[in-house]
Amino acid sequence: MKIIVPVKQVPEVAEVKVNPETGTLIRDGVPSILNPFDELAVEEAIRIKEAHGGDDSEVTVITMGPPQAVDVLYKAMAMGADKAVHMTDRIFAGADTWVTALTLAEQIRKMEFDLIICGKQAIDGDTAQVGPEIAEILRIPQICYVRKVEISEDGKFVTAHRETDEGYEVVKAKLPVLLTATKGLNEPRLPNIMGIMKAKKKPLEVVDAEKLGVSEDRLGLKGSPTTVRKVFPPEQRAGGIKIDGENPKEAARQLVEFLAKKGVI
Amino acid sequence: MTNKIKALAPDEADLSDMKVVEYQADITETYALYLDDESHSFEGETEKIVFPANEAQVAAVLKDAYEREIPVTIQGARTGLTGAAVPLGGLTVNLERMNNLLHMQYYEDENLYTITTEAGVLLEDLVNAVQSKRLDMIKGQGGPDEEKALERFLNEKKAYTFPVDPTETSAWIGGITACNASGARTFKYGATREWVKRIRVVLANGDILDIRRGQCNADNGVFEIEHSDGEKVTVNIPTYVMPRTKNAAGLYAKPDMDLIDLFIGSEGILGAITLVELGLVPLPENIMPVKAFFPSEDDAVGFVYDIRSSDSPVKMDFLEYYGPNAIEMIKEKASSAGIKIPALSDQTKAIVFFEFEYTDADMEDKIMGLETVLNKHNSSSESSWAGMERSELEKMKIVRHFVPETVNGLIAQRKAQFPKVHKIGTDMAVPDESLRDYLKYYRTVLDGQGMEYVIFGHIGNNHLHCNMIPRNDEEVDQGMDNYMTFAKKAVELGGTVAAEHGIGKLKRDFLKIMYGEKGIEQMQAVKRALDPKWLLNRGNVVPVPADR
Ligand SMILES: Cc1cc2nc3c(=O)[nH]c(=O)nc-3n(C[C@H](O)[C@H](O)[C@H](O)COP(=O)(O)OP(=O)(O)OC[C@H]3O[C@@H](n4cnc5c(N)ncnc54)[C@H](O)[C@@H]3O)c2cc1C
Repeated sequence: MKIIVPVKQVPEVAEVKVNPETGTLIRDGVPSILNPFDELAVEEAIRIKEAHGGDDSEVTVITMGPPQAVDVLYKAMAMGADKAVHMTDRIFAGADTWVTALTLAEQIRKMEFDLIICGKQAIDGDTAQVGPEIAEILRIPQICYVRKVEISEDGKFVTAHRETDEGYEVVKAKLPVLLTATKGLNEPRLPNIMGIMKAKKKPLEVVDAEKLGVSEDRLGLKGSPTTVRKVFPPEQRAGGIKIDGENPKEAARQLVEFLAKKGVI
Repeated sequence: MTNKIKALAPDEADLSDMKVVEYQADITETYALYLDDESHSFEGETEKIVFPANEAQVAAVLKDAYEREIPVTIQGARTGLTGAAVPLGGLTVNLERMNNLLHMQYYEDENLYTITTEAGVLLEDLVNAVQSKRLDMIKGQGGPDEEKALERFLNEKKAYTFPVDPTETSAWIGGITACNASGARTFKYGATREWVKRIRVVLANGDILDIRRGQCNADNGVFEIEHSDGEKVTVNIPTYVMPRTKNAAGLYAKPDMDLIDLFIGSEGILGAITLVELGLVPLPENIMPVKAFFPSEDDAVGFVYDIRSSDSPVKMDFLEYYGPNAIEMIKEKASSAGIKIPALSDQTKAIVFFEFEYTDADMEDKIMGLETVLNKHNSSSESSWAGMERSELEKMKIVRHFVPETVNGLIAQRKAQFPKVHKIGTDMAVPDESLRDYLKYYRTVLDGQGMEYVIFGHIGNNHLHCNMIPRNDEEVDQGMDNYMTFAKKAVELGGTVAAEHGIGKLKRDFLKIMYGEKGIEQMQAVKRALDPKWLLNRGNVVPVPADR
C-alpha cells in the first residue's frame, strides 16, 4: 500500500498574537510546527502501513513551502514516514488554496498511491480546502473529517467514519481515495531518538517549478485566482447576560423582566 | 596584574526628577509588592522607596544615606526566594528605571560577543533582544568600537544567546549577578559568574568601582581599595575552601581571586551593581532534547554517572531528573492537560531529561553511543521522547512545570486548613561522586518519616530539589528539622547548602554549618571593610554584629 500525506508547516497558533493596528498576525519569534491535523494524518498513515503493509508499502510525506519547511518533513519521517518530497521554489510563493492544491496534485500525479491522507485543515488558514481540491484535481473520491478508518482485508476498500454536525456517517469507498483527518482519529506518537536519526537518512526529494514541469503562470501568486485583500479581526460582540436566580421561579421572573424591558413581550 | 583599585568619585546628580515614594499609605497600599519577595517570609517595611534612573542618582542616594547613617536595601525584581530584597526599615533603592541595554563589544582573541546592560533590565528582555537581534535601541549608543561590534553582531548569520538559563526569567540582570543565578544549562555553561566580564558597582559611601575581569586580582588573599578621598582600605579574603559544586552560598573566596567575583553573588551586601557586561554564545545548529524513561531510580542515576563521565560519547547541555513520585504528578497533570506521553508507561519509575548538540556529521556516532549507555541502564532510545525542534523542547518544558505546579497546588490546599503549612524545598548540591549517596539519604530519611515529598531537578549538577509537602503543622516542624539535617549531610559530603537561591535573610543558619563561626566572621570582616557603617542590605548573608 502506498500512502501519501501532504503536510504543512504552521506557526504555533497558541503563541501568535494579532497586531491590533493592522489586524495581521505577528509571526516573529513564534515557533513553527507540523500542522496538528497533519500529524494525525501522518500517524494514521503509519498505522495503516504497519497493519496492512506488504514489503512495498510506504508512506511519503509531501509539502510545498519555503526551505525551512523541511523541518516538518523530518518530523514526519522521525515519526515513521519513509520518504519525503519538498516542493520549494520562489515561484510557488503566494499560492492560494487552489494553486496549492494544484501544485501538490501535479506532483502526486507522478507518484504511485492508493491512499492520500490530509489533515482536515491547516490551523493558520483554517480553510479546509486544499485536501478536497487535491481530490478533485486528481479525480478521486474524497472522504473528509474522518475520525476512524478501516482498510478491508484485501486492501481494496476503505471504510471511514466521517464527522458531521449531527453525528457521523459511515462511508465505504474503493481505493484510491483521499481522506482528511480530524481530531479523535488517533493519538500521534512522539518521535524518539532513533526515529530522528533514521529520519535524517531517509530519502528527501526536492522539487522546483522546472522539475514539476508546470508553466509559471499557473503557479504561485501569479496563477492564483483569489487573493487576500484584507485581514481583519471579527468585530467584538457584546457579552450576553447570565440569569442565575436562586431558584427556577426567581430565574423565570428575571427573564420575564429582561424581555419586558427589551420590549419583546 | 595588581590587587589595587581606585574608586571613582560620584558625579554631581540632579535628584529633583527622581521618583520617590514616601507616604506610608502609598507604600503599604500601592507599593506593598516592594515590601516582599517570592519567599513571602518577612513583613517588609521601609521609610521611603526611591527609583534612581542612572548611576549618578544611585551614587548620590547612597552617599547621602551614608552621611546620615540610614540603612539601605537594594532591590531587583524581588523574585528572590530568601528574603534578600525585603527591606526591614530604612531606605529602599529599586533599580527598575535603570532598564536600558547599553552596547555590545566583541573580543577578537576569545571570539566573544558581550552585551552591556543596566542593572534593571529583565533577563527575558535581554535574551529576546539578543536572540532576535532586535537591538535598534542601542544603535548609536556606544563608542566607535562598540558600534563596530554591534554592526558585526547584526551581520552574524548565527543566532546568539546568554547561555545561563535560570527558570525565573523575570529576574533582572543586576539580581542574577548579585545572586550568581544558575539554571539547567549551568551543567554545561556554568553559573552567571562565568559570563560576567565587567560590572560597575556603587559602594556604601557613594564611590564607584569599575571592575573589568582580569584587571584586579587578590595578592595572597588581599585587595587594596582606594576611595575617591584617598583613604585606603584593605580587604582580607576569607580563608575557607569553597565546595566543588555550583554554589550561591556566601562570599566567593580564593587567594588569587578576581575582585569582580567578590561582588558577584554577594547579594548586595557590598554595593549596588549598576551595570553588567555579559558574554554571549552562539545557539547550536541542532539540538536534540530528550526524555529518557527508566524502570528504577538506580538505573537513572547510573545513566547520569556514565553519561557525564570524561569518556562519555555525548556531552550534554543539561541533565534534569524526575523521581517516582514526581512522575505520578506528571502523569496526572498531563492527562488533564491533554498531553499524551505514550512512552511513559507503568514501568517508568524515573525520567532523565537532557539535551545535546549535534551536526549531521557526528549525529550517528553520538546516538549509537548514547544508545549503548541507555541500554546499559535498562532504557533505550526507541522508548524515549525526543525532539528536533525548539517547539518540542518547549512542550517538554511544559511537562517539567507540572511538578512544581502540583506541589504549589497541594500546599495552597493544605494551607487553607493549616495556615502554618508552606513548601519546604531544598537547594543543596553535592560533589559528583556523592550524588547517589545523597539521593539515598533523602529517601531514607523521608520514607522513614512517611513525609510526603517529591524529588526532581538539576541532577547533572547533583542539585536536586527535594520538596517536602507537609500535611499539618507538626509536619512543618519536622520538615524544617529535616532541612537542617539535609544541609549538614550535604556539607559533610563536601557540598553546599545553597546552590542556586542564595542565603539572604532566611538561610543564614545554614551558611554557618558550611563555613563555621570563623568563616562567618571573615565574611563580616569583608563587609566591615567595604561598608563600615553596615548600611547595605543589613541582615543578608551574615548577621549584623552587636556593635553595628
Ligand atoms: C519560580 C522561581 C524560579 C526560580 N528559579 C531560579 C533558578 O532557576 N535559578 C536561580 O538561580 N534562581 C532562581 N530563582 C530565584 C531568583 O529568581 C534569583 O535569585 C534571581 O537571581 C533574583 O533576581 P531579582 O532581580 O529578582 O533579585 P531580587 O530578589 O530583587 O534580589 C535578590 C538579591 O540581590 C540583590 N540585588 C538585586 N539587584 C542588585 C543590584 N543591582 N546590586 C546589588 N544587589 C542587588 C538584592 O539586594 C537581594 O539581596 C527562582 C525564583 C522563583 C520565584
